[in-house]
Amino acid sequence: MLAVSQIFASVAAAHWIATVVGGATLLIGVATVALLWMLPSPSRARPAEDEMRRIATELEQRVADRTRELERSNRELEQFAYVASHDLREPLRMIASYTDLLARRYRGKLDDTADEFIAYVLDGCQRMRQLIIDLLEYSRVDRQRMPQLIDAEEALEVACRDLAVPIARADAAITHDPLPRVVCTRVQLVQLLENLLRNSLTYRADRPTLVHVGVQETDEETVITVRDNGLGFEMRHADRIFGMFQRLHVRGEYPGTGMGLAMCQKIMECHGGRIWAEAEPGIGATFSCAFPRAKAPTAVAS
Amino acid sequence: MRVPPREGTDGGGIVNARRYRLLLVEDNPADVRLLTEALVEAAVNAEVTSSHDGEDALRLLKRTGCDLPDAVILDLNLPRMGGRELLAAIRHDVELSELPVVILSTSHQDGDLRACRALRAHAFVIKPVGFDEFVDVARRIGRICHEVVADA
Repeated sequence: MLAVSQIFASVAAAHWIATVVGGATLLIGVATVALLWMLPSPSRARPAEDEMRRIATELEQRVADRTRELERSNRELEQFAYVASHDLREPLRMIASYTDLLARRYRGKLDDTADEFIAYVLDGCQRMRQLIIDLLEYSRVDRQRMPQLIDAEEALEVACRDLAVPIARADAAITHDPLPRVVCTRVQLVQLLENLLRNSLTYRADRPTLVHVGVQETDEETVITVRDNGLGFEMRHADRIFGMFQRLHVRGEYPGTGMGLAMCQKIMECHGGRIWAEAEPGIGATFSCAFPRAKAPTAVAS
Repeated sequence: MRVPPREGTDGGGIVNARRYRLLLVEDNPADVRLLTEALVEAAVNAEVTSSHDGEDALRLLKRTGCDLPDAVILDLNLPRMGGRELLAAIRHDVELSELPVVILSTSHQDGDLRACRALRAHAFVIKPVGFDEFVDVARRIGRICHEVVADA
């Protein structure tokens, strides 16, 4: 019995060993095949490379599709803003014109309350008109035009000339570093600086307004900063202020429709750049516009 | 629609106070009234006949024969025959080709401006938002009529 059981045991052990050895052989075999598969043998490598290439092509295709989709939705949004603002003008024109006519013909002939009501309607029309103008302008910031290397200092001069009246009214001093050329369209660079300066002039504190336009260069970007000593704001609002029609103050306190910074953001995005704000309440605000540096030689605007 | 009826001036007899005859091609009655009121405010002595689309206006001009208006005030966005088409039709018609035409439109499009300039429009005026500005437009129309009548 013992012998038999020993035999059984040894048979079982042998079987075990055989199984283990067999399994190991199989594993080694598989591993070898896999290893051979992975070795850079030209005959075996092709299917893997083909697979990689297929995946890359598919990914590229997907990115291209997504980009096209985004471009389409952007175009639609711009088209919508244009059509909406243009079509909104029409009924507004009627309301404004006929209320003007009412005021012209009947001011003082109705009672004081009527005159007051008419004044409110006219005020509403005036604000609506500005909103529509701003919305139209926003929708016209387009990506199609060819950016060039534009002298930011020249653009700043134009912006300051355009803002001569509000600058004088705010008794503001605007200083600047020697400014470089940046890749942008001329009109939009002027508009960007103008909107930022206007912002500093509007939200000024109870002291002489100082605005400084500076520059920081890195390997990848040229950052133009507009720093003021105005009201500033709390940093939790730093992103919100770039939204369309976003304002941090009650209407009437400060003029404006809340489109200026939204336009700045759109201009920067159109040029592959970024814009951000840093501020401290009561101290001032700094707006930074980072333009990617021109890699290939870009045409210099004459 | 006629504001006021044309027949009123054809009575004859009035020689010195020359009234300008305007054909306003405009499909929005509120705009017709607005220009009429603006002409009054601008003290432009004008009789405005209005037509609501291009086809109707062309019919009216052809029927009028030698009794043409001093100027045509033309909106661009019209039902059936649009303003640009009407302007082209006027320029290609032997009897109408020299008719002064002022574009009064809401269009801001460069294409419209260029096309109308090519078709020898006298002026391209964008309808203003606000009555005071509309009175300025009426004054400008008055000046154009004055020049046209003086040249004739």
